[in-house]
Amino acid sequence: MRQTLLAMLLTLGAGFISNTFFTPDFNLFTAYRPVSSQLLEFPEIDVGFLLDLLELEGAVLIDARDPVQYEFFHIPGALSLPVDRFEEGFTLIRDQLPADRPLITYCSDPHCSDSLMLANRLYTEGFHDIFIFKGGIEGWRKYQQNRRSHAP
Amino acid sequence: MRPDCPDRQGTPGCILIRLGLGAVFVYAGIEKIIHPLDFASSVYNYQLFPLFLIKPIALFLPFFEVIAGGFLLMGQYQRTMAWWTLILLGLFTLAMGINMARGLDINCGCFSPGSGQANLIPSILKNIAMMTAAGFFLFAFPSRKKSSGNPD
Repeated sequence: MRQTLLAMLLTLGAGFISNTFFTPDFNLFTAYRPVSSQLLEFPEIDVGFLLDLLELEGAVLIDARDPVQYEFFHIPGALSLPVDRFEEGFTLIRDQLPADRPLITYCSDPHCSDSLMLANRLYTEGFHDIFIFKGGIEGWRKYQQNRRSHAP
Repeated sequence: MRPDCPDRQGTPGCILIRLGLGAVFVYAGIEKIIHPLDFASSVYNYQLFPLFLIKPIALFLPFFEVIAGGFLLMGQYQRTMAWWTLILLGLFTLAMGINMARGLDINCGCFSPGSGQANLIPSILKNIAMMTAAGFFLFAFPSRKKSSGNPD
């Protein structure tokens, strides 16, 4: 019994340490969200293409992250549509989503999947001209830093 | 603390089984620790657990495998850890058996989570072989009973 308890304590300790320092993206306290193999894929764009789409085609940016993260920081002009609360959020911003212009979704970084999930949800609502800004907020911050450092 | 398995008395079969089981568990655990999301996906595919349990299972179970296997390799707490390997193998086999009976086409996620063929029969056979080895280790090599006159 003691040996089993020791093994379990070691397991808990190692698990929490590993989760904190090595796999922080694997958030233990949020429920697992399955990524279906049936998800559609969408074109992934970089920040240059993003700026072109915004400027030349009047694309609409949509932030797929949590509203708190959105309030804290978001790409200027982006609408908030958290993928976790799609139905509720979609009703609120439905009128601001043009059917004849591209939509661009993003989330926190190149590894997050919320932008893809959101793009799929939007597709099922009839929006087919969708791009994913793969860099997400992290990519946008890097772009801003680069721009500042190259400013005269 | 002195191990209670008679391998220290030079029983080659006991040593072989202990090292084999330990190595398999350590290897399988490390593969899953490195790829927690893939393993979470494998656990999810079994469709046996609620979503809120998927991540804790995917995080802690591999560490328990590594720790149980590590103790076996080191020759510590052999009997307890061999029991745990037997229990875990039994549970894994049961989970695979349930999904085979359901007709689900999933891969077992035993060693390289998220990859491999969607055929559970070879995995079940491997598990049964390891369970047989663990059973042999536990029951065919009984530990010596301690007595007051025995310094062990």
